[in-house]
Amino acid sequence: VTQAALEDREVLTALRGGDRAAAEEMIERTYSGVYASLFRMCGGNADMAADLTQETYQKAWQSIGSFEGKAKFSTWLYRIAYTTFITQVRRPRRLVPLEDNFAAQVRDPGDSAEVQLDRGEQEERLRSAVLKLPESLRFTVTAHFWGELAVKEIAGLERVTTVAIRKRLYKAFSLIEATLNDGDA
Amino acid sequence: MKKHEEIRRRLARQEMPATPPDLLPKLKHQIPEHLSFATSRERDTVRGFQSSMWRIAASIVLLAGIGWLGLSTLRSPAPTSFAAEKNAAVTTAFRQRPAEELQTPPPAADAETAENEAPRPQKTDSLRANLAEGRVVAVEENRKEKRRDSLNAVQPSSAVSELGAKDNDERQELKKSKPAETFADRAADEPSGQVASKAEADDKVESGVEAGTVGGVVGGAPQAQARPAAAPAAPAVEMSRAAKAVASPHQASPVPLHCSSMSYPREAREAGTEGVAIIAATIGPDGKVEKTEIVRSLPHGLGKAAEQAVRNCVFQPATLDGQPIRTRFEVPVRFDLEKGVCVLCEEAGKR
Repeated sequence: VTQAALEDREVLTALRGGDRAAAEEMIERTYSGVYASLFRMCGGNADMAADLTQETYQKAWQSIGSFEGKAKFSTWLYRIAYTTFITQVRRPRRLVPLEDNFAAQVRDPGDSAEVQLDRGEQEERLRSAVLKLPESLRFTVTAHFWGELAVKEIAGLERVTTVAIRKRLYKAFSLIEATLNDGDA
Repeated sequence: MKKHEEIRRRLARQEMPATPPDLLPKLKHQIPEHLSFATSRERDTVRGFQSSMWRIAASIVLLAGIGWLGLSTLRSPAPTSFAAEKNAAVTTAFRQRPAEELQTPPPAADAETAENEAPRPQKTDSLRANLAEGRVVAVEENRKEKRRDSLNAVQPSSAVSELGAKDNDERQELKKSKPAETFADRAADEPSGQVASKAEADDKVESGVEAGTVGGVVGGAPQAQARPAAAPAAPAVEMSRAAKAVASPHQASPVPLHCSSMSYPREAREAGTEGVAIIAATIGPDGKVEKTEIVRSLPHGLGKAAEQAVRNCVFQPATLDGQPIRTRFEVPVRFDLEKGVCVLCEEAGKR
């Protein structure tokens, strides 16, 4: 058991006692990692990442009773963040008509050419290829690279072995490669 | 494999973004006041406990309801305090009721009577049941009393016991002019002779049952005797009022003039016996009582006492075409522990 896990348990014990300070401490420990993973998923959209981070913590407080402490709190939080992001992507967007002069100042978070230029076309193509992966592979790839979770943690979340996670990664790389090659062609 | 390594490297190359400065305060601000830390297992436990408690509470309520229903069912035959109060009120009303009103003159059996008698047996049954329980129940209570009063005021009764067919014609005319209610109908309302017979058979007419006896006797006995006689029954007390109301120039009913007072029999007073006895009296042309017969008796010597009370009375004889005639009619004598002996007690000064 690592030192971080021991500290997590102490904080969780304090949380169960209704200690609000413990909740704030838990946020301070985890919010940067949650925001970073969401920032990468959103393709560098900071505003959307911030909004999704807040939504993630709201859901976490609502369902904190279901956290049994078997995994790290940050791992559990990443699962919620990923679900929140997928829900946001699949959510039908309401179209709000804007005047032309104002619309020019609003940056489209998904299709902005400016963002693409900043981040580079290659990286955006790579991100698009990841998001096109099947669900199990997509979660494994994003959790491992964008959520910075270890293979063992992902295996715990997915309730599979680490070997299965590594196989998923290998298969995901093959699919991403094929997608990128199709884009080049 | 090189491609795979390149993809891995590119994915791992993601830089760590700087968190917005206002994000942390926002996140802290949205911490709820009361965090729900119950795990799913704990929630299941609590829900199971709550459902068990609800089931137990529902079972208790169900059992209590069944118990209450059972108790109420068991208690229903016994007279409740409310029923006792009601009976007392009815008894009081009955005592204040003129005994002669309950005398049932024999009506002519017409179609109207037959129609009115049809739905009545239920009331007779209920009264019979009440008599069997020794309780006092006056049927239909004061409503019928009022109705009878109004009827008596206009009803000639069967004030013609020996006056023949000519009088019957007049009575038919009066029946046509009066409302649907007839004496026959009223007789059907009353417990009639069957109830009286039952009351006699039970012979339980003691102090607590006197009103039941009264109801049975007055409504039933005269009628039961009058029908076999194949002649109009004696008009009883109705006679005087009917005579005044009809005021026929050809006929007049006997009118009681005076009754000497008599004391309440000691034996009956000690036993607390009350009730109404019916005495059939034959009034001679001179107004004197020539013959008496006990139609309905009462225990503890009250029947004999009633007969003596009637003998002590002097009547104005009935007349036919201005000539006094001999008549026979039935006189109710009421024995009341508070008011004493009352012969035709509705008539003032006849006690």
